[in-house]
Amino acid sequence: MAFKKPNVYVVPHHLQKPWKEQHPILCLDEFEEFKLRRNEFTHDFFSALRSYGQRGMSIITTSQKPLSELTEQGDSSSPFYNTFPITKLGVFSNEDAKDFVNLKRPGIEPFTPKERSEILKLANRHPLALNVACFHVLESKRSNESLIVAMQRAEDDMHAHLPGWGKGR
Amino acid sequence: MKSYLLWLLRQLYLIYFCPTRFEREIESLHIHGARSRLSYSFRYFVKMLPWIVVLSAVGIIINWLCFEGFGLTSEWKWPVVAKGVAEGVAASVVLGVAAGVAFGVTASVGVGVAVPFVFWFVYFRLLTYPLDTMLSAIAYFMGRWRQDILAQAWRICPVSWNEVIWLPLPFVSKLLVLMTQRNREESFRQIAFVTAERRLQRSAALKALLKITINDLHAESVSELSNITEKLSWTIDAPIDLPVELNTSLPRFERIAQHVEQYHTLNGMYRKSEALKHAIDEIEALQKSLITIHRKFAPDILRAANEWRRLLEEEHEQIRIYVDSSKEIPNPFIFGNPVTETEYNVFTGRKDIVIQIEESVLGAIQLPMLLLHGPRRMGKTSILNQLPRLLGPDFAPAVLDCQDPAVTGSLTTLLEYVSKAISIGLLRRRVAVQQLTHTELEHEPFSIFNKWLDSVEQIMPPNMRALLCLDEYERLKYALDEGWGRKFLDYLRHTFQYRSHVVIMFCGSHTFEELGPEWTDRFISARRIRVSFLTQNEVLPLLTKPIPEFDMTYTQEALEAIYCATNGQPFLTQAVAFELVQFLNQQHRKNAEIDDVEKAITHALVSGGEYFANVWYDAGEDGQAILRAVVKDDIPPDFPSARTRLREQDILNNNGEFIVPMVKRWVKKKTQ
Repeated sequence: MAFKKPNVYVVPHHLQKPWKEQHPILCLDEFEEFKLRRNEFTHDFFSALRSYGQRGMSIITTSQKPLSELTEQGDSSSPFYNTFPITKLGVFSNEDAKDFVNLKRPGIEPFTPKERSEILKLANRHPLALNVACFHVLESKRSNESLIVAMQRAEDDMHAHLPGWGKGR
Repeated sequence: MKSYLLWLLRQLYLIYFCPTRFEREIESLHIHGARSRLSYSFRYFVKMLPWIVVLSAVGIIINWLCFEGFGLTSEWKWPVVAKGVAEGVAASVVLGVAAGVAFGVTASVGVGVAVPFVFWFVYFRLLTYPLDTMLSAIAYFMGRWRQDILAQAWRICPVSWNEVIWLPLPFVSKLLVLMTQRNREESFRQIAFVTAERRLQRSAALKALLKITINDLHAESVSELSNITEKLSWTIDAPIDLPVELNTSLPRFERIAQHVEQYHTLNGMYRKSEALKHAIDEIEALQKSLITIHRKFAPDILRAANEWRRLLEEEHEQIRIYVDSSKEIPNPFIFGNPVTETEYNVFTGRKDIVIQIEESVLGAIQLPMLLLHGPRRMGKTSILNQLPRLLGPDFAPAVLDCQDPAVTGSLTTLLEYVSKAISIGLLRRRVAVQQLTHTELEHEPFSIFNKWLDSVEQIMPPNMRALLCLDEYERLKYALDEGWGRKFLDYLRHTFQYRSHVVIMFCGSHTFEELGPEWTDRFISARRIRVSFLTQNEVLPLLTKPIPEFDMTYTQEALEAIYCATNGQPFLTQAVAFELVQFLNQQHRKNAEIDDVEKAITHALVSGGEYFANVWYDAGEDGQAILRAVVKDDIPPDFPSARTRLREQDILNNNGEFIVPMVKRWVKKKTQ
């Protein structure tokens, strides 16, 4: 995806009318990708985005690093990043983790108390680990394997996803 | 032979019941089969000839039987016919003359009535209409009786096999609606079929669709309302164009459903109540528009809207009890984007700035240029957003965001944008001017723009001044780099200083001296207005009563702690206040104490991290070295220009100390 100058200008002006009634929210996932494509996403692009942000469009970005480290500091006008409050995402709260495991999913048999407890123990409130553990428990149920096998697979998967997984626990 | 007979029967069926389909089939055969239209038509006629002969024979026999039945002659010989005709004509003439005036009028009237009556009766198939109605009713009641035979019932309904039913057929729309309960997809397929193939019964399809929509809009509880968006998703590619009243109402219903969905997702009672309030506002607007619209289906839609409103208001009434009893504090504080004109409650102070602008402009013989400057995140853009409210009606502020790509695109896009900004600014003061278009500015843009400005000044009331605010004006450097920016700055310099109704105000974090001779050469005489910290008296009302329903209280120490930590820096004040409300809501408390403020500051140091990063970057390497030394109580290195810059940016005071303790804390953490 590359924006040329005229597109950056034309598209949001075209959208301005609805902005009066609705509140557009632009979600930019994996913001680091912009840094890798600096030739395409120049200072003009970010300057334009900042301008639309000031005009009523909300922008939500997700990244591992703060935006000030991912965008060029640019010129003497205000930088893109300095309007963004930072929200640091951590693991789920205990309640959220329990809700995740207890959630009724259509067509899927609920987890037993033992399964729930093992999933929560392994995942330690980590969203990805919760997903992985739930997945393996369901798979093991389908293939009549034990819960221990499922947990072992989940643990292996997590090590593959996050090499430092489990350290310090 | 059998296939030929079947073909013949099918042709007859198509000719009588589905003429347009017959026509299409003939056309398609002609396109794909025969060499020429004439030859194909001839071949088709030959193929149909036996059938035509048989039909004619049957007709003659029926005629003969009729005549026999009435005791009339059955001598069907040509001379006899000719004689009969001749006698008939002669008799008619004689009778006509004889009857003359006596019967002329009566006969004419009789014929005049009878012929159209017969024509209408035959052409519009009125003869078979009662039968069609009966079949339609049977089909509907069959479907109602047993839903598993709905498909068979639909096949009985004449609309499914007869294209030529001119009069509206009852029970068709009801049957289609009934089908949705059993098989939604099949029902939509049949509605699409009726729309496309049974044009005479299209209204039945439309009526069915409206009824389905109304049924989908029906909800027993507020929780059901949030599912409406999904239920109505079919309307996006509905099998038929929906009526205007429905097309305009559905997006609103969806928006209301989304508000309700948000209501269910939110945790805080205050926010939940707000979401419901938005939904009620929206439904009220919808009701008003439906009351005024004079369209066929508007009353049906209005009934659904009334039902929604009743559910929403009942729910809102219940939630209000919880809101009143809950400890939740509304959080109006904003940090990030500038405060908009409508959020004026959380804008405070700056009266001194307004007075300086007014005094610079009002009463001046020659209008000055202004420069509103100050450190980043000090609230400059928020001030610009509030100017229409703060300045009197004699000012028409027009804000131009120089970070908008139009500014650096080309001279044409820039002047078009300036023209648009001025037009919008004037329109707020009820002065309507037509903005310049891109095409108009393509040739000799300055000349065209000047003429336009002349006309604008003539339209403006004599005492009115348009205040053209160039926010983030430093961005014009890109236009300078492109080459055409100099012409624009020269134009600003030479043209606007002689204008009596338009004032230019640059707005940025730099002075012209800091940007170099390109700017000082042109705008050295601009009057400077500096934006800096809010005073304690300005901060207090912002913290204690930002909006009427704000019911958080502070201890005196807590209030002082906020002011001390931020020194009235607007961004940080809002950030700490925001975090404080969030924290107290988590704690289900309403009174802020000094420990809570400390927690809020700790959070704000993280959430406002990009502001501090910006301060750090702007300081440059030399400035950062100074800040590092100051935070460690070392002797700072001797970098005079960096020190000056830090002072101008309100980071250090004249004694070389941090002005804002929160900045000091952040730098300390950064340099550890």
